[in-house]
Amino acid sequence: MELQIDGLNKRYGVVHAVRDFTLRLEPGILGLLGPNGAGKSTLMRMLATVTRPSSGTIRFNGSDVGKSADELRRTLGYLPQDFGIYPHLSAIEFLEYIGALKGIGRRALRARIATLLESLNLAHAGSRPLGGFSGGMRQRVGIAQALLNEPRLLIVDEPTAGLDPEERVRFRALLREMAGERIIILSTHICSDVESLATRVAIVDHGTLLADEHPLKLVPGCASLEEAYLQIVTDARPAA
Amino acid sequence: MNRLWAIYSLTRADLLERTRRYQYVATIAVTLLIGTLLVPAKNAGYETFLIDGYRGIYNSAWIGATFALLASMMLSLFAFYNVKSAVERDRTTRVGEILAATPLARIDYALGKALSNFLVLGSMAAILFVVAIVMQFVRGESAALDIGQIAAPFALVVLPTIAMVAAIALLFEMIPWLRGGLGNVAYFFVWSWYLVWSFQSEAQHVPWWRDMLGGNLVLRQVWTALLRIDPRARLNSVEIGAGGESAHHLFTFHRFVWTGNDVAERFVWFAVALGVVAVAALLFDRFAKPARTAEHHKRNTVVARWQAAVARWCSPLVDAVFTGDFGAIVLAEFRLLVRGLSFWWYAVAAGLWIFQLFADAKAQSIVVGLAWIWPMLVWSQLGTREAVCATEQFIFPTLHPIRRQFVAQWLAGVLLALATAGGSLVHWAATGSLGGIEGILAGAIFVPTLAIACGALSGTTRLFEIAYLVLWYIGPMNRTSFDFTQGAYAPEFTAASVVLFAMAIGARKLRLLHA
Repeated sequence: MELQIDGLNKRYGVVHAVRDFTLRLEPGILGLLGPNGAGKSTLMRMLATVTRPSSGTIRFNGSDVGKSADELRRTLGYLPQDFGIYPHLSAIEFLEYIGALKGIGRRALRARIATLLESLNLAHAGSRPLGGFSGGMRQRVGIAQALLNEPRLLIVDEPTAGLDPEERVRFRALLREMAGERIIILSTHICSDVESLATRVAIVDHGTLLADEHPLKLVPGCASLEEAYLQIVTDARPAA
Repeated sequence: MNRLWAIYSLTRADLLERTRRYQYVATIAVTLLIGTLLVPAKNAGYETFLIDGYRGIYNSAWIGATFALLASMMLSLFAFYNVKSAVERDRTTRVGEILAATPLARIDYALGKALSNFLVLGSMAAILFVVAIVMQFVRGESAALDIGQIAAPFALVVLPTIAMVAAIALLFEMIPWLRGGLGNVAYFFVWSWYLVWSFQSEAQHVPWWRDMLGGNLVLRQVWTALLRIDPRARLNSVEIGAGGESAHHLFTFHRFVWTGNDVAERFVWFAVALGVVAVAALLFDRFAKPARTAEHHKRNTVVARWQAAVARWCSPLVDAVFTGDFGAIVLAEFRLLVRGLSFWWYAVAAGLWIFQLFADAKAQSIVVGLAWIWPMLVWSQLGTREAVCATEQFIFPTLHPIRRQFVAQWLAGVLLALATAGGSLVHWAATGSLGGIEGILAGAIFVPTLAIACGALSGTTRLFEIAYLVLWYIGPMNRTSFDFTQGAYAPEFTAASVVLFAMAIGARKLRLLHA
């Protein structure tokens, strides 16, 4: 299984959000790091087939996603950074809804929802309306919907935002458990999440890929991923 | 199988989300109330359906005819605005971002949403159907209940109409410029024109494409029955809706007789509706528009400036300095209200302003009416902006958010009304007409008050847009007693403004309590 990104560009009018982005991904966890406005979310939206690239191609297992997105969508799990819920549906109803749209049959869906609610510590709240959920609980529902179809490609944008430390640890364990034969793209500002999970790190700024390495090999001599990240981003910026 | 399961799930989730909102309960309550008003008592002082002064006795066939006609008209207008939010909900709740990454086909999404629209409208029709049966017994003019005579007009007239409304509402949501207030206005005018056009024909048979609401089908059956009693009865003397006239004569409309052709002509609208849904599906962008477009950025900038202004002027920290500076808040609200309007908006407003100066007394009502329909989409922001822009958490903790910010917002709306009708004020002042000035002042208070009340009560711009459009059409455009620009009705509209303002304050207080 592989995801091949070739010369990807995205322009919004005069704004060039993603520039000539090329990357080849195989099973494992890719940590995507970059400052605000670096183009990470735009890249994720393109990979998740939500928005089309201005130019360039995305190939999943050799097939061009731009020409036929459905093959990827069937096996995709996507947690957007800025997602919403239907406040008057319960968590179970909402997950049943998204699961059906993903093409999961009724019986399999119910079992899967029960498992995910248990894993994400939401089993007690499954029948409550989502409108009454805290930010962290909503985030966990978002994570659950992304995992419903046991995706082979999982794209998660700021998944641990709003989670308390205990839930963050629980989520990390879940991702690690899932990793195996899947491609997981994890975009975050939290370096410790990437450090503890990622098998590769890609650093992006101004829509350009600045680095793509194993977290420990990113910048030799740096004491932490955070330090390495700051050095790479600073070095890439033109001197004031 | 999976596709059907997906469409079913989409429809179900959308329907559950809609019907669990308090607005739905309110809609059903209003439908129930309206249903009871469709069959007025003998001494009620109004009738809802007359042909040349004749009213049928309240048997099943007549009640079926009345309900089919009026339900088809009402559901095609008012309920359109009620259901035109299925896709918008996915955009505003940002669930669309998740849906876009699933294999759901465009046509399946469109079908699911249209079906949900249809079922919401169908639930209103079902309520009216039950009320129709109950009202036959309540009025007691005929004890013989013939369910088929009530059910058939509902099935043949109302259901195809709501199928079309469900599809058109979806189509409007897929076309960017028809999504918002402009689409609401456009629909109102197209609907009004179509209604007049469909009832204009004197022919015995009106082609199906000219009778989407099915009114002609009902009307001509009733008319044919009436001709047997009074061969001189005229079809062009029909009154539908809450008319002031009382029935001069009663007659018995025994039963509907539906031909295969009638059924085919009505059911063809289901096929047309499916076609409209298919077009809507083609236009569906799968929520591809990024969240932060230039337009979004521009709006955010405006909102940020407004927040800063309101925070500056309403903050308890600066209260000591700014206690007397209420005018500054009004100015900030006024600026925000008119910010972003194009050059052409001002050019048209200025043209209407000059026109008011020179229009004669008779034309003033029409010209001011035009000048006050132009800012409708600006006024519709009143009372809703905090909910729409999600700034409640910034505004509500400020010092006296009702006395200062909310009242300032209302005053900004009044200022806009006065500014756009300034030409008329000058005209009346120059001609020394106190009545004319009173009319403009009362109207300038009434319109923004209606806007802020509708906005605060509903949290959306839609309630004001439709209520105001209807009032504007039957008032200034037709110079009835609903003309809020006329000095003669100034006391009534001033009193209405007081009630509406109290309702607006009440609604905002409730929102403050539960935000």
